[in-house]
Amino acid sequence: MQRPGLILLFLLALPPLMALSLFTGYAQIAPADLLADGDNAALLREVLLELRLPRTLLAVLIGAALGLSGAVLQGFLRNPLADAGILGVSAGAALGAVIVLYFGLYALYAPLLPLGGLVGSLGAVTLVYLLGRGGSVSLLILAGVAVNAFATAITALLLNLAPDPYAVLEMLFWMLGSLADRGWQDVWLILPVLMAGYAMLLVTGRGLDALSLGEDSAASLGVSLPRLRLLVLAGTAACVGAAVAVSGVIGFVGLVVPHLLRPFVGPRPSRLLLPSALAGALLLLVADIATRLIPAETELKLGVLTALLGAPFFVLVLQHLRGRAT
Amino acid sequence: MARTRLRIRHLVRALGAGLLVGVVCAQPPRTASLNLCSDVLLLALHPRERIASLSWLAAASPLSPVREEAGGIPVNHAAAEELILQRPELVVAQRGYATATLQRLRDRGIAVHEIRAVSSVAEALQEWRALGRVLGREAQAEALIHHAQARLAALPARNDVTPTAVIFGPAGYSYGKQSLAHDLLRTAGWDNLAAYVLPGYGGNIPLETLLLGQPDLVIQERDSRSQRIDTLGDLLFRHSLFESLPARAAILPPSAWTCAGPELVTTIETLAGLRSRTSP
Repeated sequence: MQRPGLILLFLLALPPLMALSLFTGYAQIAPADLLADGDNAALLREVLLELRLPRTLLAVLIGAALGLSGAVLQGFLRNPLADAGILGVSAGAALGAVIVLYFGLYALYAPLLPLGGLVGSLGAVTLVYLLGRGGSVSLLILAGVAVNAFATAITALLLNLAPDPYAVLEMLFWMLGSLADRGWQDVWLILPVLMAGYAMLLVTGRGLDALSLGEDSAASLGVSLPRLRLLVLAGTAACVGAAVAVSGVIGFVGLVVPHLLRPFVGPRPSRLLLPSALAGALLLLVADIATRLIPAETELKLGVLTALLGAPFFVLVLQHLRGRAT
Repeated sequence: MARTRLRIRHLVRALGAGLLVGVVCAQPPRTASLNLCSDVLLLALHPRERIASLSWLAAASPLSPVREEAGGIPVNHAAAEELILQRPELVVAQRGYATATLQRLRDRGIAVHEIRAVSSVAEALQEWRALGRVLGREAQAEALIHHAQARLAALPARNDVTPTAVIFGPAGYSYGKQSLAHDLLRTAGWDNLAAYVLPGYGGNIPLETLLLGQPDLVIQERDSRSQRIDTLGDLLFRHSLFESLPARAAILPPSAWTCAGPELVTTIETLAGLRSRTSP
């Protein structure tokens, strides 16, 4: 399928899936129920507008952020295993939030939890930038690995030193990733950051294409490599930081989505950006709907589901690649 | 439009908590509970017909102390959507659990009362009083407190020498000075061996502590009805050391000291009873 067709398909799939998300949940809400008069209908409308709608929007926005950042990073680092995790951004965001959980700071002011996540991701990416400054892409990846390891280690330390088992559970469950009971507050908090992130990442297309020819060729084509690096890092920090801040750590979306689309869209990184964003949004939306449809007494965590969905897909893609190579 | 509605809602919420206490004098608030611990307290203090829902564990969990009592009352799974549709006026939960859910409920103008984790009997009684106040059931709370204090006063007299006890949970988890279990042991006239080796709330103690520490009583924290292995930590209970320990052995479930409810007085009575059987 051609790229415009793919984009159109994704855009057409989005509204029905969003509608499905709006009508999935504990209560069975039929569209007719919403238009009725009376107290009960008003309550159902509240549930839809105040709970399900922000959750649906968050799934779309966060999925798009993860898909987009995955595609950009794979193009920039020229590494098919790249996603935000490799640069330590998600680990940094998780650490920021876990620190807020550990010290119980959210009791003072609830938005401190996502704010902690944002600060954590910013800190992580700044550290990666400083460690990798003036070096090659390999150095940047190594810097990412170092920051990832450091953030993960401190998080593990906090779990280790947790005051009681309930605190450990709270931090662990948060890290598994969830969009349950998120509200408009979370949307407004991360929307400006996400918009900035999208903007920074979407303009890297041309630079990424040039970079695939090698750094020297890219430079000779007039691409400013330091500027590209800054846009990629800052954009990733904004997109993934905001995502993790609200939903916890959701893996696999950024890694798998570009691989799934590359057979259709071709190898040029710029062509992958928008489709990856849209496909990421759809994937996360489907996963979030699944957490509500699959019956379980305790809440099924979103991060767990994306890993369960993503891993087999990934295996299929690898089989396909292996088949082509032989 | 939505923003104005939100602002009005915030204002209503700010007044709502205060107004609720006034309104409550007319009729006890329709209350939902999110945790097993708060379920137990709610059932003890609140009229059944004014309970909107209890946590799903209340009737479903084999470890629930209120399994029969909770029958017939609707349940919730601590999801905001579910709770909102149950139309509670007040929601009671343990602090630190389901923070996003509670925030969504507050946004909707539903009053939220968080019960904090307690580390002593005195703190538990304070929480009963606080909950009674929020529920408009001060008299019932005072009665509960009075009854508990009477039972505590009726405990067997202390020995001349305080015997030592140690709690051994799955994987050797035990309780330090900052835990409720520690205070329960102390109130029952026991010295908690684990407090000497563990910092803060608790942690894992090695099996050899049971031998070298020479406690007078070793309490296995598990369900006494089965020898089931649910976790890796449960395997330790099958260790041959337990058969050869000179100390007296007892088994108590984790629910004995997990919640700040009335059952902790029963736990203290049980622990005190064990004391009189070990003294020479």
